[in-house]
Amino acid sequence: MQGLRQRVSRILIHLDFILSKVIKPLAIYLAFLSLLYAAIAYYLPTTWVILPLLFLMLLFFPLTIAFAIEGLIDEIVSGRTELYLVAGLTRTQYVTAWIMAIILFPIVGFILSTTIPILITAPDIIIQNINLITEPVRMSVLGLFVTLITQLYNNTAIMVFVGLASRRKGIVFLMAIILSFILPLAVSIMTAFNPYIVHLLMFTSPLYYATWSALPQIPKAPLWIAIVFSFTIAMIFTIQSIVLAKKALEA
Amino acid sequence: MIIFNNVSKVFGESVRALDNASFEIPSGVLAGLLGPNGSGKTTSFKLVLGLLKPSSGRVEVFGLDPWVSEVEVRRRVGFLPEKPVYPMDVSVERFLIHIAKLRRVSKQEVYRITKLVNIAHLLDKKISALSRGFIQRVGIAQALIGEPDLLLLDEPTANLDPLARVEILNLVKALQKDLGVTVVIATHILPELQPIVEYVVFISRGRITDYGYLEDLSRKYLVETTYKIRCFGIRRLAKILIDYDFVKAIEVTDTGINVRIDARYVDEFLKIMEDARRAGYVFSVSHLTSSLGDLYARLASKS
Repeated sequence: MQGLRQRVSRILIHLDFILSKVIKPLAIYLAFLSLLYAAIAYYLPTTWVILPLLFLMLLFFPLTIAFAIEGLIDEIVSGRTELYLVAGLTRTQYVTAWIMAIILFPIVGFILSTTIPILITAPDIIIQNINLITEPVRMSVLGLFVTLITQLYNNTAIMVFVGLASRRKGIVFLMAIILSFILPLAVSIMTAFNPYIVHLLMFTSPLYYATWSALPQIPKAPLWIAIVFSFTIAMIFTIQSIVLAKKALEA
Repeated sequence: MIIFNNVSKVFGESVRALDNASFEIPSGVLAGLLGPNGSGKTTSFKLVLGLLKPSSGRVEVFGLDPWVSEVEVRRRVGFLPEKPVYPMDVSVERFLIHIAKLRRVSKQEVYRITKLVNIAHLLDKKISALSRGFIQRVGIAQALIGEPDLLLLDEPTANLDPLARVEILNLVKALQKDLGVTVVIATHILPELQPIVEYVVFISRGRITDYGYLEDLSRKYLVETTYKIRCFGIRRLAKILIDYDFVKAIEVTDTGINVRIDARYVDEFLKIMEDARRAGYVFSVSHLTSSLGDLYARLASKS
């Protein structure tokens, strides 16, 4: 039990150190997001106003994450990782701390910085009756949050994997732009020609899929399928990223 | 303390960084792992630290396999990497305290070590603001945190100016003497290591050409050797010794004489010194150093 506590404590110590270095862009982003939500929810407590803001903020989230991933790649490529391994971290502890810093912490931060201001200023927006299974594409705020968070996790996991596989910082930023700008735009344009193409968004962009599905002329599938698809893909990329990172530390 | 038993390390399918390497480094020595760039020195260090798994053979550190018992081994080892890979955007204090936390050592230990390596006045500075010499001291400080039994220094003087090189090597020597820690320095710059090492491992293209105490190797390969003599009547003894053909140079110091002699006559020289010691003129005779360059040349011609 004490061994477990020591292992967890080491992960948290290193997580704290990583966050102190990579948190700046994310903290600025989350603070801005939090203020924006508080103001909007207070003055205009309607979901249709929040929706465009969600998309707007969504565009910048992968870019802030890309800065953090850059830090991980930099450590592995430069060999700085060895300093921490020699100081007592195991490979698993090191990778876990980074995965928490890149994936878990920003998403938890995102959830808190969006929900807390709304809960304080206009709690009735969040506390709505929503059932994702029976009402698949309903645009409630809670439903949007679940979809949004799945998309954020999915995009982050893909970026981490691509970053670790290529070990090039530029590619991580390119991937952030592709996932948040180019891919949704390209699929949206193609959907205008063939409505079934919209289903491609289920794999990486469930929030965009939910939006398109709300339109009457688009063929619909239950939203939870998009969430499950996208979450499964995110899990696969997360596990592969852990495998890649551990392999990189053994080479 | 460190045992390599027929260790090979192959990267990919064809890059053989270590080829059946076998050597030992006993505890308490200041040892040099010497060889040209790309000869396998850094790979050897990474194997000692359990950062790499040997392709074949066995590595033992403190009687443990470092790949299997990585945490136990690393807890007792300090490592200075070849490149200054420290996080440049944090302060010296923040970085060293983080290493101390990972090693479960108190902050007071960090402050003690920074005094020891003379960087206590730089704690609030960002690492990026330091000169290369001071960055190297930060590296040595982080390696010393946790009172390691073994210190591995990979090219500690690389890219430093001549003054900083001398300072760093003197610091290492003093630390080894004061703390009684085993130090292994990997380098390709032989002359600067010559005055401080007592044990050497020569490595070339992943193969160990020879290893052992410098005194033993210099006798084995007939390399000029310098002995330090502590005695009465320093100038008189110097005058006597200068007449011998095998004496190549004499340096008079405050406490005695340093004599460089032809290795073929070491036994004869030691016999003379033993007689002098019995007669009460000489207190002690000890091996000071041998020419690493000459030793390396002999080994290269042999291999």
